[in-house]
Amino acid sequence: MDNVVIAGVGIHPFGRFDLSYRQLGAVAARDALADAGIGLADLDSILVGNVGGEMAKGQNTMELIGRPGIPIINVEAACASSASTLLLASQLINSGAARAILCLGVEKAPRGFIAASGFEQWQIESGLGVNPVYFALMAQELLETTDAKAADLAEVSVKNHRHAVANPNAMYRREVTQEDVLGSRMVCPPLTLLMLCAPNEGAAAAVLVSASYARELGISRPVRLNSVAMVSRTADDWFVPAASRQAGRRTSLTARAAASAYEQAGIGPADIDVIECQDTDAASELWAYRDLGLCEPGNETALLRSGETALGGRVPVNPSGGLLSKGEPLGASGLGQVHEIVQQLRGRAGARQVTGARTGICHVMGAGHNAAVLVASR
Amino acid sequence: MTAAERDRLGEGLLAEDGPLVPGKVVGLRASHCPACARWEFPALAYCPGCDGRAEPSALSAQATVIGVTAVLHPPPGALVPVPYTVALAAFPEGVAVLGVVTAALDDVPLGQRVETVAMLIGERLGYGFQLAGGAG
Repeated sequence: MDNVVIAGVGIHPFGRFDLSYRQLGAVAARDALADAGIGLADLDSILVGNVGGEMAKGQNTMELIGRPGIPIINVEAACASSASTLLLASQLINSGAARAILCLGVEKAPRGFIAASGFEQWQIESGLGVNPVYFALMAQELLETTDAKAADLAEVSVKNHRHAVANPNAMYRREVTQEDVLGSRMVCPPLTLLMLCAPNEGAAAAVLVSASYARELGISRPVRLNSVAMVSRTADDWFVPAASRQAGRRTSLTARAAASAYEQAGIGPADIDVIECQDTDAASELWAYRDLGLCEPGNETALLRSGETALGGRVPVNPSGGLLSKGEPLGASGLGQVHEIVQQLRGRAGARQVTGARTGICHVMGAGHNAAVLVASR
Repeated sequence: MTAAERDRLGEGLLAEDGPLVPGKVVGLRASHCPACARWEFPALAYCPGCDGRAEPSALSAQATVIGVTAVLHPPPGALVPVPYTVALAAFPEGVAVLGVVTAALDDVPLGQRVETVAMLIGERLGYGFQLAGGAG
């Protein structure tokens, strides 16, 4: 899939704002187009990822920028909504059906627990429609089956918050200590408030173009989108909102998405220089180390403690600060990751730059059993 | 309204069709695949394991806790007062089900035996788990 180039990226910072989702989205879309050096008239279509918005959100957002008259298509796949736009756009460009597509993710999520994650009404009323319950049970499994301790969960949050200090697009830019994390309000044991990401607001966008069009535009040394792989539930996966799982076995959506993305891109985990992954909670990042192939099962905390996944290490994970620091505007989080990886590959990440980053991946995991992994390189 | 006349929460969660009172030990209605012996809760018409046709059946009442946490702050829409304990309980049939346990988190270690009971959730009867051998 070396035919697809990420020509430009844009972002509206993640946080809480007195702006409508349309205004947030317009900022990211306009900036991505400016970064790519093209206008609305040069696009073939616009794909918009959003979870909680109204009818025709992409159309309503674009109204603030212009009226290009081209197809505007809204897609939703929980936290993998942004990734869905990238999958579709890359396939359209790769097939020759399009040469330039704007992918936009935008969200204005309410505060607190995410209320509607696809649970049945009986689950909600029974007290089981609670996303952090799932994350807590996964965290417990990690604590029970590896040498991971609560302090390791805290350290993931400490690392990502440290990274975010240098990221102007993050919601929380203050360093925290293990004591801060462990001492913050308990939400679902063993997870405390600072081990969980906060749903929030923001937008991010990317302009995908064909390699030949990138040359026409005079883009030298383009960032290539080598692969996008997305998977949904098979027999033995388990995630929000499933009320049950098979007791003796659990397969990983992330591992399947990663294997496919690596194979399509012709790379392996050892080739990766920088990663943005779905740290919905601290344990999720450690599970991702395993599922993305960064370490053998059971060596997640050894990898964390070695410092190799921190800035300055061999393969920094979440140099942006991750969702733990940026917050998670559901439909925009995946494109937020792409924004960060593109800046890293361009060498424009400032104080959080991963030295010599040439290959990066993004990973998202969403309710309804969706996972996506993409590979980009320069 | 007597307890026996209460509406059920959800559709087809409990295997018993007769009168129920809160606290009665019950089986959950699940589906079973005769071809590959896989169980699913809630019941499905198909088997995700082999794509065969599954049949409705009832799970055993007793299960073993393989995961447990607690909810300390009120989630939107929940009719169970906080704090409450949530367990992932593995049934001998091979499926593990999430449910509220009528015991404090500290009293529900991994490996704890629990049994499925009809539980009053708001004004309707759903299911929950209680410590096996006790009233919870």
